[in-house]
Amino acid sequence: MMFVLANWKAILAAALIVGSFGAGWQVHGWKYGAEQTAAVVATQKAEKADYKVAVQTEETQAKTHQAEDAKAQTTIQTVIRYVKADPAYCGIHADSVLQLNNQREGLPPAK
Amino acid sequence: MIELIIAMIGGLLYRMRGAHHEPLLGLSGRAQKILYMIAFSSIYATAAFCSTGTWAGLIVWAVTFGAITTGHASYIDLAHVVDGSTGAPADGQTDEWYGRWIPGTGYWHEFAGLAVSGLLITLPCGLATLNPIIGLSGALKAPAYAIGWLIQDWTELNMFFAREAFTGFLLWGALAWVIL
Repeated sequence: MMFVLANWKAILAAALIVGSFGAGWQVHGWKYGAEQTAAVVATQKAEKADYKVAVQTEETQAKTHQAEDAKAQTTIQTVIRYVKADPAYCGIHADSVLQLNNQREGLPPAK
Repeated sequence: MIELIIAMIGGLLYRMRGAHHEPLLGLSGRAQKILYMIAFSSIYATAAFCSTGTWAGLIVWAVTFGAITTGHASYIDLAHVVDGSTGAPADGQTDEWYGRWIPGTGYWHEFAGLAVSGLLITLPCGLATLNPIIGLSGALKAPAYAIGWLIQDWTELNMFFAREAFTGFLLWGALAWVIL
């Protein structure tokens, strides 16, 4: 007790230093820590959104390719049908169309 | 009461030696700041003079003046400013020469840097008067800035001037409190 009474000014100064540091540290962490967390969450959200857009773009591109493919298939089948129906009329093109189709389908060359 | 008045004068002088205010007395900004720095260090010189003698007073005056002119820009933001952001100290976040030995980064590193910066001001007088409380009172510069930032963080008030005023208030106030 005597020590406290004799050194109360020094104790008060030490308490001021420790108290202000502790309080400042806490508030700083509370405010700027929260801001940093918010920034990290925002970055993660943006990354997720980017990923979503990339997946959607890929899906759209795949669908477009599928549609183009189907259209090409239909065209080829139609040509083949014409060729088979009237080889004389389409004789000039028949071979090349059949070869092209077989090559595309991975089949052996037409004879 | 007299301690409170001395502390308030200290706060005023320490604030006036800082930046961002219109020069008074028709002097240039730099000349005026030098005068305020001389005035702020004079109380330490007076304490050393009364305690030890003329030479001690003069030496303490010169050394304390030098300590006040020494930079502290890296620490005064107390980790509130990050590298390259708007309003960053002119010297970036590079440690001052007296703070390079302090480990770590961030809030506590800058708090310690401010304490050392304050100790440079008061240690010469503490040595001359052989009074450890006077010598260590400079460490109060750190809580002065911490309190200023604490208020700013809570209230969003701009405490730029107040932080410096708190420093002068605590430094001169501590000296007056110990001596009187």
